[in-house]
Amino acid sequence: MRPMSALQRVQATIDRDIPDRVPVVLFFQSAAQYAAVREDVTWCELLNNHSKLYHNVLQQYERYGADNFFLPLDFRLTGEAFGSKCEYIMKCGLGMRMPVVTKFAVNSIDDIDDLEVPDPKNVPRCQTVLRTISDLSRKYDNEVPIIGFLNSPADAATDVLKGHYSTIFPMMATNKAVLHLLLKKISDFNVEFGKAMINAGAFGIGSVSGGFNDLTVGRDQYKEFVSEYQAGICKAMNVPYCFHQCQDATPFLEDMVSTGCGAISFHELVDMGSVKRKYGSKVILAGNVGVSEATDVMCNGTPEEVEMEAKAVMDSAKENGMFWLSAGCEVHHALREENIFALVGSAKKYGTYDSMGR
Amino acid sequence: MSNEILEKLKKAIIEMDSDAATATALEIVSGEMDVTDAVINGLNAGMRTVAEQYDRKETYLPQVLASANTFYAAFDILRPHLTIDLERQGRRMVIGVVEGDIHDIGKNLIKVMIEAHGYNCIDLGRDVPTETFIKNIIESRPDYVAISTLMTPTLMGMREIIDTMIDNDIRKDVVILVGGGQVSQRFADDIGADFYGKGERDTVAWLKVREMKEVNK
Repeated sequence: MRPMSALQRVQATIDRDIPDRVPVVLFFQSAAQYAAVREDVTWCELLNNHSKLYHNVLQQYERYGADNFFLPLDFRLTGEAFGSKCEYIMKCGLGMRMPVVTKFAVNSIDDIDDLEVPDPKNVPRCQTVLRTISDLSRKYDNEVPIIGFLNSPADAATDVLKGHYSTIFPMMATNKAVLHLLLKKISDFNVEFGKAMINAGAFGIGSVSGGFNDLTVGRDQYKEFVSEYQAGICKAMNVPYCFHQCQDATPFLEDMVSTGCGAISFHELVDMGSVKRKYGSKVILAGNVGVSEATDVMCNGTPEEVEMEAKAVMDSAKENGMFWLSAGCEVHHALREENIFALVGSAKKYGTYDSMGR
Repeated sequence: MSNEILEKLKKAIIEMDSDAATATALEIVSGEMDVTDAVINGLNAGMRTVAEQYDRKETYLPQVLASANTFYAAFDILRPHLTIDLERQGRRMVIGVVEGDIHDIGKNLIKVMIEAHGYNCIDLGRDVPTETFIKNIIESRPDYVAISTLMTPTLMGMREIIDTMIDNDIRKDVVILVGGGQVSQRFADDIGADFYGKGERDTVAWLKVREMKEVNK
């Protein structure tokens, strides 16, 4: 098969065709962090300066050889857009610090009704992202897919309302109506920001549900507060949409697929082979080289171990296409850079297809 | 104290009814009833039931935290009237989230569950500097130290705390538990923790087994 560009490779999986090899789609921060360290850029500068963000993100393709550009998992952006304030205090390895919300936009659930949905075009951090996408698109149009990021409304809500998860979780049991009001507003923002990213040149959107997982919520709660909102955003966007669920997504796979998204992504805690058999013809699967308790090979393994696990994942999921190789989740920021190269390299080494799509 | 009052308290906790819990607590205080009995056989009993429901996956974190909020609303009313220092009873655990991480939901849940099982938690909160952990461990001489972080970026803070405990010669006196979203058994072994807990269920179970072994020694 003739070699494809990164965009052709990813597009083939979306079109349910067989690509020349398994695409490697990065959704994690380590590459961005290494690039930032090399260029002596802080996370604060990175997330607020489009020029620095641009130079950082393009290294995912130029340096690591990934098949996509992914804007960093800027989890705090939505909270800031709604008026919360961040400080860059979270230690994240290699001497760098990421933002956390230290002053919330809303102090009381009584004030949610008055909360205004911000226009992304007027939010400085959104402008940074949009300009970056626009610049990447100009240079790499028709070559590399650009994936924008939207935090899941439920997780973003914890950055808007004072108390973080400690407030939002109990509301799922005792203040449902008010929580739905907040989630609706965040979803409206996500749709507008998502559309703005697409208009700026993004190919698709990635979204993460982090704190609302198998360790914290039941399936009914997941459907009501997580997947219903993802489905709404996905439908409104109508572009390639990848939905990642942290921890063990097994109980929620049916709900994830039912959102109508084009791709689902999950930890190594989920059995990729089983998911491939059940959902592999309905949705693209992305993952799931180990990042946590099941193997954590990306974080603590050797490059050889990463390569072997990536091969095992591909062996269980690459057949007939509709598969992206990636880490199972965000990996430790100070992981060995060689492990990123090993992940990408393994797709080139073991991810090619024969004429039967194997 | 009448069983009816205790059952009212217990029911309020299970049903996450803060209004009923605080009203009953006020009734107990104004009626000069046995506050210690109310805490142990009303509030704690209610939380224990919630913990058991959670263990059986009949309820989830939202309900548990709502029940915990109800518990503390009533406990804040009863606490000033306690005639014994409950905080000096039972095993002590220093618990906190490492510096740089503000995600405290897992830590809070462990705390609720541990307390429901009769332990006393000294809660250092979230974004806790290493020196604050060390100071509190030296001062309160706990049986256990539980360290949590949800985020991968702050994992290394756990190693720093344990290394500093060793440097201060206080490591051998305590049992160290670590947990959080991205912590793994391999990482826990690597930094020298005694136990890696995936969640509150296995943490409580491990503590129970461990203490049973201690008793039978």
